[in-house]
Amino acid sequence: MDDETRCILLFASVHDVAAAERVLIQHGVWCDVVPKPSVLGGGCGVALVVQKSDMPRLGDLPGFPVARLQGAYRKVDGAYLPC
Amino acid sequence: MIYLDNAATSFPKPPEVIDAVAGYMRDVGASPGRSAHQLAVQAARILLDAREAVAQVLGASDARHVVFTANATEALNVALSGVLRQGDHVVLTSMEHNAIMRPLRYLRETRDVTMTVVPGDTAGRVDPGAVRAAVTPRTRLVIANYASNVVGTLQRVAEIREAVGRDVLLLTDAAQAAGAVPLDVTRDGIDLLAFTGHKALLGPPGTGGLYIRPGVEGKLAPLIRGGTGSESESDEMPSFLPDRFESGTRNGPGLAGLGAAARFLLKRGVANIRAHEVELTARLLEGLRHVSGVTCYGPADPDLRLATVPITIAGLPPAEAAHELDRRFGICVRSGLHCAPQAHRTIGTFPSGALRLALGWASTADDVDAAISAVAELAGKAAAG
Repeated sequence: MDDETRCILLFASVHDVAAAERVLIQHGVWCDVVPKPSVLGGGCGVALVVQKSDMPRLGDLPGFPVARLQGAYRKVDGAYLPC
Repeated sequence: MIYLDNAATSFPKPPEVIDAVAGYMRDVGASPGRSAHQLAVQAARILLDAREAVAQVLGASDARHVVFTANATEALNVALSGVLRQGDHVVLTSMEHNAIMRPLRYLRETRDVTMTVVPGDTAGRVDPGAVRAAVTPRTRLVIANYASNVVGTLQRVAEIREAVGRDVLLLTDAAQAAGAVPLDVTRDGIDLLAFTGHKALLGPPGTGGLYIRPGVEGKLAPLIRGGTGSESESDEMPSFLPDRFESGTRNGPGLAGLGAAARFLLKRGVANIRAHEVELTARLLEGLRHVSGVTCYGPADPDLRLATVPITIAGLPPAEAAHELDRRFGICVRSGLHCAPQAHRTIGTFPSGALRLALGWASTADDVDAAISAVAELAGKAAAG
């Protein structure tokens, strides 16, 4: 389902996804853990979804593993574009 | 019942550990790191919490570098098999467990690995200078257990690190020490540290792991290869931690318990538990010192050892003494060679072994006094013939 208002964040490992999720929850940032779309290669089997409007501040959240973020995508017309 | 076999496995476990294991089995159940449904995500969160709590106990700055295994033996096999290549040389102490000696024998036979064993003194202490003297240009790895499982002796691992320099890898077997003494792998410059969850870390059996210092992972090949839940499109192992060394489903219930145990230790304070055990060890050593026919092994100073005290009773084989303590006095101890024949040779108790009294976090002064009294009775009967 297309949703240009949300971004899918990919990390290498589930450890990183869980760590990122915890930071977001601690800071009251909405997120959801979802199965990683197969067309998005690499990463682990799960991904983190956030509001696109929150993207600019993620790197400022203490402890957010931004250096280990492998990619951020949004789904537009069935295709995944950089977010 | 008085349980003095904590060097084999700790008992009792803190109630939080039991609750965490049961809670995982009852309410979570799912496989961590695979699916993305709510239960699997909850399982992943539990593993994250466990990994971070254990990392904190070990003094590791990056929890991803704590790789979970089934026990210390598996972790040591990952380290030895992963690091050592054809023709490498290893320096190790005479106090090592068979979890080191047997894999090394296999590697000697299959990869022409050579080794130099540095003997400890009769208390099991190894001179860091002697370790340094044994290092050659072909030496790839130095191995020193953090504390002996036989005699509790604490090795000067940080001094060994300083003595051998930074060009050689340092592996320490902390199966006995993790959770029993404050550890700081970063401060001590430890490259690889193997631990088990079920001893002084107070977790369940079937848990353990290997700390891998950042930068060392590239020198380590995985022992087991398989599914990790990551980079599934590739048949190559991931290069990143912890996935590179964690193929196959992890022990979710066990690791939930280990996480709870690590948090228990952090809350109570490893240093506080250590102080309690040092006090009881001093009481035990002092009490046994006055029992005729009993010989205690290891450092006389309780600060130089864990709460593990091997003894022999003149005229009474250790196996018979252990059986008597169990059946007549309800005291659980372990006799024999404790899977460490080299260590027993070092302290002079090979081949008959010793009777090992191993206190734990829940031991009390009354337990110690009861053990002293029981040993005294056995020693008196043995002396009377």
